Amino acid sequence: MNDVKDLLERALTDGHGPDPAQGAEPAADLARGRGLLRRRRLMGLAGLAGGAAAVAAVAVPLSVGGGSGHGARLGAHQVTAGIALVAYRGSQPAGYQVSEVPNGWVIQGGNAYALVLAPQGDKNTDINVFVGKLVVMLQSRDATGPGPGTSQPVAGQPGRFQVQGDTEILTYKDQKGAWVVIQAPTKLGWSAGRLAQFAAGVQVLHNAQQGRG
Amino acid sequence: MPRSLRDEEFSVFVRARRVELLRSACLLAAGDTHRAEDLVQTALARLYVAWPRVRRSGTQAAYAWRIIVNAHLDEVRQPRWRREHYVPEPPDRPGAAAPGAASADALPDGIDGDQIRAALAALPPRMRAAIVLRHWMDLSVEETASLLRCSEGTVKSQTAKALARLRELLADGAGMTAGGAGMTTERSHR
Repeated sequence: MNDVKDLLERALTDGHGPDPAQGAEPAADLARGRGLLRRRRLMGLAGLAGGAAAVAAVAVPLSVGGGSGHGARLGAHQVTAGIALVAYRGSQPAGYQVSEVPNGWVIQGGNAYALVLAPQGDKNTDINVFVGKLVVMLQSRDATGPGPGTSQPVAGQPGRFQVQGDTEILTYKDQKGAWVVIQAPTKLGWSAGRLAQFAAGVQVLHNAQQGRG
Repeated sequence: MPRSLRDEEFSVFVRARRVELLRSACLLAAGDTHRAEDLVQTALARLYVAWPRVRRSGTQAAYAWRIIVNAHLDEVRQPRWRREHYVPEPPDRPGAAAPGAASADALPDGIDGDQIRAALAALPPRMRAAIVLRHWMDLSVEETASLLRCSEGTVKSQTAKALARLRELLADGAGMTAGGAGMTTERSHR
């Protein structure tokens, strides 16, 4: 019987679709998949993609009490309580706004897809590299729900908190109903509650967009 | 999970499902095989990355399809796709069939692949996606709504409009009546 399926089948003739009996060799797809996975890991996105092990391998833990930079200036109290949040009054990129930032951290940049904060003077100024940085973004459109973790409400809205390697991830529903993801390095020394406190000051603007993957 | 296990499982999936994914993507792309190949490659690469998570829920094919549909809808929103005309010139249409020449169930021989691809290309991307998901992949209204991220009512209306538009586009050459001889309507599906 001729129906829409037959019609569509006919659209695949004349070399405009593969033969259904044709086989598929996975080598090229495997290579592309491995390449994408490697790039994701290098960019520190593995935590959100479900494979955070590599993040631990590339993220450099903060050496408290030694070395240079912000970590070296931390006192004992700050180490146990984590870096304090301070009010932020500087300029805000498009997409997201924050009311507080970690003390000594600045907004490194951002766009419709992510807001990136890093320690002042951080050598890695590429806002597409998230390793060791505090990142706010809308949940990927390919993800569904907040994922695993422990319950951590944000301003009365549901949220889940999890730690993957050197990265803390808080996924929560904002006041407008959008799922927001905040990725923070464990070197901040933040508890789930402190991360939620930061999240409560985040405002997702109308031009923010969801990423992929 | 060990890379070797991921690779092995992923390879089995690709061998079993790639051709099917590509054929469906070709329909989404209205016969543009290069674009369909891009969509499938993108989906499979992302599926490989997400494999440990997706395999647990056993939704590998659905995950790949979600990426393909999203990429299809995203790409056609890009200006380059709006500027590009990937459909060749509409082929000459044969004259209308003589009355009674086509039975109610038969799809007249006058419709060829080029005409159908041109008609598919003339559909808005979401309508084309709705018709491919519902009538080619046999997905339910609920499943289609989930993939297109819209309501079930929207799926029904988009599918009905797509069928009506296809009928209209093919009517001249196919001798099909407005009643839709040979084309299954939404009411007869899940």
